[in-house]
Amino acid sequence: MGITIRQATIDDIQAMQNTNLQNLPENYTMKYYMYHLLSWPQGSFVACTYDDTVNDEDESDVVKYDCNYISRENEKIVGYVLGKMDDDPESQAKNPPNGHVTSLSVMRTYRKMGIAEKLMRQCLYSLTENYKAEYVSLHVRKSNRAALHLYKDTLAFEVLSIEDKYYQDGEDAYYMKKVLVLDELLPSKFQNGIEDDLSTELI
Amino acid sequence: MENGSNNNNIWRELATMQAQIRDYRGMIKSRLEYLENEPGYRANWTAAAVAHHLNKDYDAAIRVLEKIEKLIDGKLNESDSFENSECVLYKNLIYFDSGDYAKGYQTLLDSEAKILDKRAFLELKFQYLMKLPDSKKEASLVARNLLKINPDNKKYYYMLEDSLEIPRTDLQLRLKLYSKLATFYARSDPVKFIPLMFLNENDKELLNERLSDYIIEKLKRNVPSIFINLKPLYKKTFKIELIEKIVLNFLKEQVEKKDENSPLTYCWTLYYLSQHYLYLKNFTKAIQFVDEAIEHTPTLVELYALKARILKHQDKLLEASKVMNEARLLDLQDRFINTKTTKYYVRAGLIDEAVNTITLFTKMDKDAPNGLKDLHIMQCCWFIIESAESYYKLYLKNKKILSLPDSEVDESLKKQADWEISINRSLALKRFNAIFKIFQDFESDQFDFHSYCMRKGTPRSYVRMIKWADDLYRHPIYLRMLEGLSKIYFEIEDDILSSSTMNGDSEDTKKLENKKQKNKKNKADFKKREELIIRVNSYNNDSDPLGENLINTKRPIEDFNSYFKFSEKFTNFKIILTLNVKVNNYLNKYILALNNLHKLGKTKNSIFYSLLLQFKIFKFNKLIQENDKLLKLVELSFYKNFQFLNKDDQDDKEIIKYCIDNIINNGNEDKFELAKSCVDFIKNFQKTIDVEKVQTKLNELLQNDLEPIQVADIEYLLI
Ligand SMILES: CC(C)(COP(=O)(O)OP(=O)(O)OC[C@H]1O[C@@H](n2cnc3c(N)ncnc32)[C@H](O)[C@@H]1OP(=O)(O)O)[C@@H](O)C(=O)NCCC(=O)NCCS
Repeated sequence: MGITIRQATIDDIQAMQNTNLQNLPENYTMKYYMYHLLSWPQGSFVACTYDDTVNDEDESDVVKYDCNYISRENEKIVGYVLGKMDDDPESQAKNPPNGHVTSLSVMRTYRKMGIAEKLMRQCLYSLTENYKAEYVSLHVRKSNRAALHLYKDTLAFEVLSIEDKYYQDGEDAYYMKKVLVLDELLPSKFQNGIEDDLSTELI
Repeated sequence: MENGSNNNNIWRELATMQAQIRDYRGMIKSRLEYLENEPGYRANWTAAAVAHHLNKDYDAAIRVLEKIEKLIDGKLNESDSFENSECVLYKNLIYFDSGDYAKGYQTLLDSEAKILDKRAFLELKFQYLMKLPDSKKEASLVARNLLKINPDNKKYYYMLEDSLEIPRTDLQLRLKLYSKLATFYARSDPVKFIPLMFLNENDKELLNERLSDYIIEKLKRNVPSIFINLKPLYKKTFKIELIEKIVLNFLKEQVEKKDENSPLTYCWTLYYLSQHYLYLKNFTKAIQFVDEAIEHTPTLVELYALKARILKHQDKLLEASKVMNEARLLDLQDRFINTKTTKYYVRAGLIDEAVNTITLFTKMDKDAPNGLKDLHIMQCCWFIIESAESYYKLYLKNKKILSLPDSEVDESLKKQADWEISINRSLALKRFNAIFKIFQDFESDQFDFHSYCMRKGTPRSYVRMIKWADDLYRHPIYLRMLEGLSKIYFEIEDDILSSSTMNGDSEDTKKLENKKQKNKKNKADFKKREELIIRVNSYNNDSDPLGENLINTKRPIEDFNSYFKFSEKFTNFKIILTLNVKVNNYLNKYILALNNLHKLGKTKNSIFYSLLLQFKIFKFNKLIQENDKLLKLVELSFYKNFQFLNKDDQDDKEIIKYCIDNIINNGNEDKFELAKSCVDFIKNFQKTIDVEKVQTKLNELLQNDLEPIQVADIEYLLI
C-alpha cells in the first residue's frame, strides 16, 4: 500500500484512538481526542495506507470491519501524532506560546520508514505557523530507544530534565524541548532534494 | 425568567440542546436572541452564523460573518489572530459551498493576510482555480506550493496532475512528471509509489528497473514493510512475476557473495519471500522461507509474527497464537506485539489468556484481577468487539459439541460445553452491548463542544464534527456490532417462535434454561460462577456482569431494534438493508421489508439480494393469498425493479431458477461473499426446494477458492 500523510480530521479520531490503544500504554477517552482536534485543528496528523485501485467499486459495498479503517476516505491509519498548544492558564501567563506533543505512534509493521519523523515535522511546522509556537515539548520514557533517537538525533530536541516516576508504572521520563523557527521547519527541506523554484516547467 | 440575563442563559442552553438534537431552525432563533443581548462577543456572532450555515442558509451565514468582521476590523490584537483566521476561512468555505466561485475567490484573496493556515488557504485557492476559467496553470503552482509544505500527501500529487491536465492514461507524460518531482522530493513515498502503480506491461523494462531499485534499497535498509507497500501491485500477474524474479535474484546474489550485504539483509529478503508466497497461498514455501529466516536470526520479532500469520491463514489458530506469543516474549516493552498476541488468543478462543496478556499494558484498580474495566473505560473497541465475536464462536462450538451423540465426544468435554454454553452467548451479548455504550458516549461527548468551539473560534472543525456525529452509527465497528447482535437476537426469536408453535419451550431453550438453574444450584458450579464473574467483570457495580439479563429477553426483536434504529437511515449500506428486511420480516411489517428489498435490488451485487427476495416471497405467498390489495402492490413494485420476475409467469420456480443460476454461474463476485450467499440460500431453502446445485457450487468454492481460514468461517455458518 502507498503511504500518505495528511492533517488529521475529526473523521479520523476513532481510528487514531484504536491505533493509540494498540501501540502505547498511555490511552485517552474519545473526548480528549475531540478536545485536541476541535481546539487545535492544525495540530494533529495521520499516516494512512491507501489503495487507489479499489476506488472504482461501488463504495457502499466496501465496509471493512477493521478498527483502523476510515470508511469515508478508503484509507487505513497506520500512524498518528496528536499535538496541542499549552493552554494551562498559569503556564500561559509565564511562557510564550508553546506546543506539546501528546502522543505519537506508528504501527510496528510500518516502522523504520520515516513515518514518525514526517508526522513530527508536519506537526512542528503547523504548530508554529498557526499558533506561533516558539518551542515544543514532550515526554518520553527513558528506556524508549527508538523514540529517543527520533527526538534527539533526527529532530534535534534537547533534554531539559528528568521527571521522576512520570509514568503510571513508575518509569522516569525525559522532558524534551525544541525551539521552533518557521523558515527552518518547512518539511520539503528534509527531502534530500533540490528546491522547487516554482518557475521551471515540470513537463 | 423575569430577569433579563437569566433569560439569556436559557437561550444559550436551549441552543445547545437544539444543536444536540439537530433542530437547526430552532437553533437560529435561540442563537440570534442570545446575540442580540450579548453582541460584544465574537463567539455569539460565530454561533449565529453556524446556525444559519447548518440550516443551509448560506447567504445569511455569510452576512453575519461579514458584519462582525467589519465591526472588529482594526481592533484585534495578537491573541485574536487564530480565531480571526479560522473565522475568515470559515466564511470562505461557505462561499465555496454556496457555489459563488468568482466572488468567493476574490474574497479569499482579499483576506489572505488574515489567514494563518496557509495549507487551508492554498487548498481552497486550488479548488477555486480549478473551477474558474483559464486558471489551471495558476492552480498547478498552488499545488506545487502545497507539495513544499507536505511532500508526502498523495492528494497533492493528484491535484498537480489534474491542474497540468495530464490524462491519467498518458503514462509517458506522467512518468516524466514524477521523475522531475523525485528530484525535489527524494524521500517522499507517493513520488515513488504512484508510478509503480501506473506503469504497465508496455513499460516492463522500466518498471523492472524501478521495482528493483525500490525493493533492493528497502531490503538493504532492513525496512520490514516492503511487502505491504507493494501489495497493491499483486493485482497484476505480470508485476508479481517481475517482483518474484527480482527478489529471488537478490537472494541468490547474497548467497554467492556473502559479505557484501549485512546478514540481516539476507534475513529480510527471506522474510519478503515468505510473505510473497503466503499471498500466493503457497503455504509450504511460505513456511519454508520464514523458518529459514528464523534459523538464521532467531531474535527478530517480525519473523515469528509472520509465521503466526501463515499459521492463522492455515486455520491453525491455536498454534498461531503460541508462535505470536514467542514474538511477544522477544520484545516485552512493545505494546504492538502484545496487541497482536492478544488478538491471536482471542481469535483462537483463548479469551482468558488474551485478557491476561493485554492486562500487561492496562491500568488497574488495586483489587482488579485484570484490565478489563480499564479497557472498557478507555473505549478499547478493537478488543471488546473481538471478544464478543469470540464468545459467540465458542457458543457455536459448544452447541455443536452438545449436539453430537455421546459416543462421539468425550464426556468431560460435553460437561464443560454444557457449563459454558449459556455463558458464552450472554457474554457475547454483553460485549456487543459495551460497544453500543461506547458509541452512545461518543454521541454525548459532542455536547460541550456546541458552545466551546464558538468561544475557541473553530467553527470549521465544529461543522465537521456535526457531520461526524451524524454518521457515527454507520461506522464499521457499529455495523460489525449490529451484525453480531442480529445473530444472537434472531436466534432467540426463532427459539421463541418455534417453542410457541410447539406449545412450550423448544428443546434448546429448555436445555439452556435448565443449565442456568443447575449452574446456580450446584455448589461447585456456584463457586465456579463467582470466580468467573470476578474474571469477566467489565464495569464497577455492574448488576449484570454476565449479560444474563440482556439475554433473558422475551422481546428480542424489539431489543435488537433499539440498537438498529440509529443506523436505519444509512440505507446505502447493504448490511443495513439486509438487516432491515429481516427485522421487518420478524415484525410482520411486509411493506417495509419490501421497500428495503427494492433498494437492495438496486445495488450491484444481485445474488445475495435475490436470495433475500426469495426468502421474502415464501412468506409473502401466504399473505398474498389472503390479501388482494397487497398482491397488487407487490406485483406493481416488483415489476419495476426486478425485471427477472416475468409478469406472465410469476411463479416461484422461475425465481428460484434465476437465483440458482445466478449463484452457480457467478464469476465476478468475491468468492468468500459468494460462499456466504450459498450458505444463506441453503439454510433458508433446503427444506422447501432442491438445493443440490448450490451445495455443489459451495463445495467447489470450499475446495478450490477459499483460504483455510475462510473455510472455517463458512463451516461455522453452516452449523
Ligand atoms: C517511536 C516510533 C514512533 C518511531 O516510529 P518510526 O516511524 O519507526 O520512526 P522513523 O522511521 O521516522 O525513524 C526516525 C529515526 O529513529 C530511528 N529509529 C526508529 N526506530 C528505531 C529503533 N527501534 N531503534 C533505534 N533507532 C530507531 C530511525 O532510524 C530514524 O533515525 P535516522 O533519522 O537517524 O534515520 C515507533 O517506534 C513507535 O510507534 N513506537 C511505539 C510507540 C512509542 O514509543 N511512541 C513514542 C512515545 S514518546
